Amino acid sequence: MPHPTSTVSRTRILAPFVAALVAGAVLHANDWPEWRGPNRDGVSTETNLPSKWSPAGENVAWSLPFGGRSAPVVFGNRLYLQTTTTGDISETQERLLSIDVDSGKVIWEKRVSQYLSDVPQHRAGWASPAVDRETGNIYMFTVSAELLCFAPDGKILWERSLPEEYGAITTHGGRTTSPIVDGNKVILNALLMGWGDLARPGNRYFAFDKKTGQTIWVSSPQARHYDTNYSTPIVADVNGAHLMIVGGTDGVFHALQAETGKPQWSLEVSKRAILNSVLYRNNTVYLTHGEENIDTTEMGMIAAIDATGSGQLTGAAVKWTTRGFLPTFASPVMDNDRLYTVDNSAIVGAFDLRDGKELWKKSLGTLQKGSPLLADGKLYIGTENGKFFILKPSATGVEVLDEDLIGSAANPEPIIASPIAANGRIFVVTTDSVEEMRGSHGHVYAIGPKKQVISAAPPVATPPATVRGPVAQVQIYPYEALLVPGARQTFTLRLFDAKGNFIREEPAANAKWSVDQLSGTADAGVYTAAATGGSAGYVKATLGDATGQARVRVIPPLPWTFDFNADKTSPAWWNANAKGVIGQIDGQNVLVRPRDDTVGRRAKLIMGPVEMSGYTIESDVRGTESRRQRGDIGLINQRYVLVLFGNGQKLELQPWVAADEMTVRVPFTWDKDTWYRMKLRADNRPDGTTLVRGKVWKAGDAEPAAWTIQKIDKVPHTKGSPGLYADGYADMQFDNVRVYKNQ
Amino acid sequence: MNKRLLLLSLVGVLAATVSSSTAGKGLTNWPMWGGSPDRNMVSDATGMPTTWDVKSGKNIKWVASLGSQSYGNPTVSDGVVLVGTNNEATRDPKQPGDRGVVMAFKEATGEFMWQATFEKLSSGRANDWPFQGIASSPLVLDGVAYFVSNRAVLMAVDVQGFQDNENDGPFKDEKLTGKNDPDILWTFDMMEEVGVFPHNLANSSPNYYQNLIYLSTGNGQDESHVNIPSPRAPAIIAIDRTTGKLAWEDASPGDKILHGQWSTPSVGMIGGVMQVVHGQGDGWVRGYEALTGKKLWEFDSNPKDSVWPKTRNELIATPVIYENVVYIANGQDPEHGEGVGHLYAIDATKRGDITKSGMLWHYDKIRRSISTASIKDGLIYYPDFSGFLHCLDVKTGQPVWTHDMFAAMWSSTMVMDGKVYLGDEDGDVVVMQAGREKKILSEVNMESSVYSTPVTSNGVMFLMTRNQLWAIQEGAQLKR
Repeated sequence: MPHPTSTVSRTRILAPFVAALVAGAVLHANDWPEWRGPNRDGVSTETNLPSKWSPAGENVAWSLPFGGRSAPVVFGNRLYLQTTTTGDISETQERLLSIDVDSGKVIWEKRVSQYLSDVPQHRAGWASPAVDRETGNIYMFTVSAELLCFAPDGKILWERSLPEEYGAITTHGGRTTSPIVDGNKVILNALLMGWGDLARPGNRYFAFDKKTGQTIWVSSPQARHYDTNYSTPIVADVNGAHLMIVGGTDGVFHALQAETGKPQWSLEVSKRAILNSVLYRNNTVYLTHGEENIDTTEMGMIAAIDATGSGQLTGAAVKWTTRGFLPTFASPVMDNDRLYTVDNSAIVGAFDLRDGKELWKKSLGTLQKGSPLLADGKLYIGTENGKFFILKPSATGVEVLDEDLIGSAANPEPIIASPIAANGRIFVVTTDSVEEMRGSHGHVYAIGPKKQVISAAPPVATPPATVRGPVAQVQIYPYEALLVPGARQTFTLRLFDAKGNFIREEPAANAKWSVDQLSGTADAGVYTAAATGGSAGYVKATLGDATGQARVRVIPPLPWTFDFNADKTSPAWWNANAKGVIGQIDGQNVLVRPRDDTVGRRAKLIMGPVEMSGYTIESDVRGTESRRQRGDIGLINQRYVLVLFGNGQKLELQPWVAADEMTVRVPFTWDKDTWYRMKLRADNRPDGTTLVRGKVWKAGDAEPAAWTIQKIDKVPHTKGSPGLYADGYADMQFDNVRVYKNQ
Repeated sequence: MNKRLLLLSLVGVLAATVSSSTAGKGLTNWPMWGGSPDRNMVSDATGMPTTWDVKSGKNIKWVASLGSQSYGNPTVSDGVVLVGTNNEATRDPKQPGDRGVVMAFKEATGEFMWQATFEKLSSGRANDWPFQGIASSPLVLDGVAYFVSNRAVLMAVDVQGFQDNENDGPFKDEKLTGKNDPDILWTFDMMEEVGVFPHNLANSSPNYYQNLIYLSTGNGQDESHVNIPSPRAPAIIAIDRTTGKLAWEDASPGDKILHGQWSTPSVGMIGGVMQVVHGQGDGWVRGYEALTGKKLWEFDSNPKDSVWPKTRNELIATPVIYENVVYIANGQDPEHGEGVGHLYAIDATKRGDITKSGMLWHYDKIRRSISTASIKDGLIYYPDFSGFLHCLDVKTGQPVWTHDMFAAMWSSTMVMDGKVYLGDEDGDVVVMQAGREKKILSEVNMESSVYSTPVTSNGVMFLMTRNQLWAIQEGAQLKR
């Protein structure tokens, strides 16, 4: 039996060989380090993989009594599974498990509380983790849009809170992208409504430094946003450019320069978000989607696209297209002759790679979410009906080698996750059966020999030699900084050619530096914030014709007081946008979340630093009524939300709004068009819990001694930015906001 | 048409008489979802083809293009076929983009007559899901078509549009008055007037008794899916069809709505009382006195130990009223996948909480269902979302047979001419022999998902696929 050490030693043997091919990369034998596999195409090159098994135990190396909805990844002798905790759903968290691949034993488990998210418990753990092949570090992107980096031993190395830092919005559907690691970057996308140049609501692509977590670039190639999505990018070297290619939330496939985020080309195909990942081979992108097309009432598309173009691609770039097959959720795979994918109702289809013609299809059930795995000449497909198939496809049809139902016919365990292959085995993850209390939390099955079959990884293709053009792009790193008054931030300057190829780091002094909408000074790569006061804006560096910019916020330390009289706007660094404007009530300036009949009706005005803890926030609040509906209004402290519901006439304290079972609520009668004062305080306690307390009283009355509502949270949020909350169709108003250290 | 309006109260009385007797249903028209206020998915049509072919055009009279997704089941009246669809087959370039659309076609030829299009709500998918079009199946009464737009507005429009060369009122200020535009009589905005917050889509197919129109409001959760933003808004309303004004309302589910409200009301005489029966968002079925809105009874369709969203279900199916009994199955939004379901026969002559006292039988072998029952000759046919068609004894609830379609079912059976017709998501329509013996007569693939239920009028079966409307008739041949 290969022990962890044997795998490690094999790694060492392989390392020099692999390093020669991919600079710095350490590849284990047949790892599956990301959702779509080592080549991001859903294909394993291993042979002699299982053709038969049974959930009862036949050809099962081990199994676990819990599963999830995302595919696991395998790196070395570790399988990483991102899922939720089981048990009391009032304490559900996402968790990342490190599992010994030999034995199926859990090595460690890290639990992460979810916050400010509409994704409910049963859709948490949506994304797959990604492993950096260089360091073995693991990246986890939660349904709250928090990105965490774990060392192989489970230690948290860094974390980024996209909802607080960038105003990321996570919705009930749960769609969350799985990150990828490319070179020095972790790449993902999120829907957001941030401050400054990221204020326009929409989907953005991010590259974070995989070692430090600092932002390298944020890209906004989309003109519109239809739905949230989870099209995981692939990376390809096309025509001298290192591109990430991904389906957008705008029905457009985008190719971005992976090093800079600059758009290279785009192709609009649909009126809904794209959920599928693409395939790439020989300058051709194979794309699929299962939604509305832009030019016909027939839904769904499978197409081959010339990937060497630039700008907005047109029909001329389309080599062939086939419509009417609807693979909304599954991403495709292909062998040398055919593309295979699965439609929404679990029909697997084969399409000729030369012309896209449908060759055959076969029904496997009624509902499909996961993607097929192609390995050893076989298709491995799990359906949402709880069936797992091993199929042998050919030019004319498909032979069912094996078919297994997981769970019972009355109570199957849906398979949402895509199967993966690693070291002689297939890994299948199922999720909660419907009747959870009488059923299960799903399973992980390691199908195949008791002993892993560790063969040499296939040689990795040598990337084409880079031909670098002249300097055309300037990148300032880090792209985003948050400082206190008087602080300094040092930036480095990176130069790229027009195709996004890295040229060199440039001494900062060689560029001309400036600030925009920001107090303080910038010179020779160093920004110095003004000694007092807050501001938000940009640091810019110009070299020749190229200019790069970084986003900077300067936020004073506590205490804060905002009465909206002296400053006629909400502070520049809040993620406030049009959701917080200054209005007047009885001659006094107040902050208004205006009557809103748009999708952005629910406003979370996040004030700034994520690392804050142990503080109190209070504000006067006032609500109005329109169309029988009173709005809701509240405060945010350490990721807890205290909300006064107008229609509901109640007060709620929400650790994770979608996890209703976590919420504490009390009836609370309050009038429209009347000022109340709200107060929310969080205290992290030595026993590891957090005590959160809120109170509300009529403005002008003496503050009551007793708290109105409280929660001792055993799965606490121990830090987070202060903020204001408003929802509903009617105008909602704030005044006299104070934030101060707990007294 | 104005003359007809003058006669409305008289006609209402006549219509009410018709509603208590469904003899001859489907012979000359199909004026509403279910063909009659009791919503029983049966037709008296005969001579219906057992097979047809969309490729060769055999037994196809005509076909019309719809948008990319169509959920508003066809209704046929006054020589006009109405369907709800989306705007992807944009017929008027001046009305572009994603919209809800009701399209009207000539029954005899399939020729496009007029359309009513509605922009999406600015408040987004929580209220008005992209590309779902209009999912309300219109009610046609006395030359007026009533349907609910994707903007949660009850529309009363002339079924002939402007093609009768009249602008019928009271509303006469239409901006679009071309021959392909809708002639609007009045509107009732459920969001403005009664504070409704429709979840994902207001879809109610209107029903009626005398001068009142009944509809589910669609009131439900906001984006967070844990908050009911408008708990005081009604679940069901009655609108006076002469004036377009609110007659009565009921908000019994309050803030207990599990998700949305997509079940549509049925009307029928039960125990000598004309009732409106509605499956509501808290999983309860409620019965109201039709003219007053007085709540008569309520029935919980979920076991007390069930848990949303795993085992506790909402009600999306339409209740069917048959011989004083209400038949309905519960289920969930198709997005939620498959799961356990429950089908009930409810004695609606009882009063109060009749969850125990009114349960005649309970069938729990069904999976989640959003389909509506067909009851004929002592048997009830009920499809579920997992692809099974259940045939039970209507008196006892005992299973007679089941049939696996191997594809999800959004639609309902139509029982007619001694046969059972049923379409599925894979585009297959099965034709089975009606009765205690299970026998498949044919299976036809429509080359596009079938989410609709076939209806009949004047010897023609109308069947809508996701993007086309087919008129199917024995002996017809489509010329391409």
